[in-house]
Amino acid sequence: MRLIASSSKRERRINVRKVVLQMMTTLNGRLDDPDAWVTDISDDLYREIDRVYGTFDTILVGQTTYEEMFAYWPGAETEEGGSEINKSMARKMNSYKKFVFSSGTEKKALEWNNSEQVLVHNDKEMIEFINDLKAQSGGDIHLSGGASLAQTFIRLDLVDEYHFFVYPVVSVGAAWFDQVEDKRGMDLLSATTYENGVVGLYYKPKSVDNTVKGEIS
Amino acid sequence: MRKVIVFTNLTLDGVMQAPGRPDEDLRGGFQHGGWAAPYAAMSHVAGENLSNVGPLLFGRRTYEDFYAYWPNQSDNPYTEVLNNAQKYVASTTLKEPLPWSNSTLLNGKVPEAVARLKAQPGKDFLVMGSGILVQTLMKHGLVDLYILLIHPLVLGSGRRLFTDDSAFATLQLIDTQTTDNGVVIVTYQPAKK
Repeated sequence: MRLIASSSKRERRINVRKVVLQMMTTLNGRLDDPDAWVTDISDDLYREIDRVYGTFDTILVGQTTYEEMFAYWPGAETEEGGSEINKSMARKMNSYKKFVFSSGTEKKALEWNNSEQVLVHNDKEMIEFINDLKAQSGGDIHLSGGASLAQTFIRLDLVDEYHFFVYPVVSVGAAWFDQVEDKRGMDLLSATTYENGVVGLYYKPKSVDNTVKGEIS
Repeated sequence: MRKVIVFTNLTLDGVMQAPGRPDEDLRGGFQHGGWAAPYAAMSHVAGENLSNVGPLLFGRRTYEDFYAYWPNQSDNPYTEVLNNAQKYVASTTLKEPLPWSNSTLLNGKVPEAVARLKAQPGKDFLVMGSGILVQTLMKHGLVDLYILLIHPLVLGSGRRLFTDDSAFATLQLIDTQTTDNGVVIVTYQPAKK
């Protein structure tokens, strides 16, 4: 765990690792079929994504997303002609701990380095798994998708920080908050404009209190 | 050519219904009316994009709601502005003369009527609320500027600005501003083809 110095000498805050949902989206909050609307990734946006990825050591994915990532990233690390930033991303992807959610009954071994299947059959099991994971020490946890896994995490209020990269596009489809039925407030952490017209919006749900306060004697 | 400016309060999940008051718009059993009021973000929107605004374009429902509320308010800067502004209303049910000063119905089909008005000399048009009218204007390529006030909350229900039958559109970001309490004000225009 990281210790963050507080302004008060008598109080310390221990930051628990966060579950971060970081994704590209549209003006109407679309999350599926990015090929239809992600026009380009400008260098400044790519640098920011790479920076945030450096704070993760674990990623959470569904089975389909796992297979898509496994088909790409192991080769991308040494790809001829690949950009340095893409290789840097590939190194991170290949070394992260990868938890792959499945509703199956038998745990299968996975091929990709440092990946592990997690059998989860209902909301309660999901919540328990995430709480256990957050109780362990480590870096932040990237909720990587796909769409239905992300929607499940949002519905269960398991996301500690949202990073939306909003493309200047209206394109209707499955949306982040489609499964939310209650009012939820957020704190805006930052808003950043990128060269390609993307607006990066970082939020923390008001329900999240990620700090454990304690007295230092 | 005069611009049509769409000015809308939105939540993070794209809801535009009843930002101002609890009883503003209860359609669909909407319980969250007044969600934008605590943020008071509208007063932060200023500057050149709104400097040439003249007439207002309304859908029938928003027009009736504004008329029921604003002329009866005192001690605010808006009542006089709204009373004096030229107001055009899209409606298939209302009949002229309209009750509020300086109001007229859009003549004939809405897209054609708005296109005709845009071609006339004068100031820019502002659209507030009026979700169905905005849908129609978007579908016909008649919106020139979007000023979206994105509020930091999710409601999970309510009428949205972009609906399931909104057409695919690429926009160009013009400006981003942030208020102290976390409202992000983004301004877009349609991308040049």
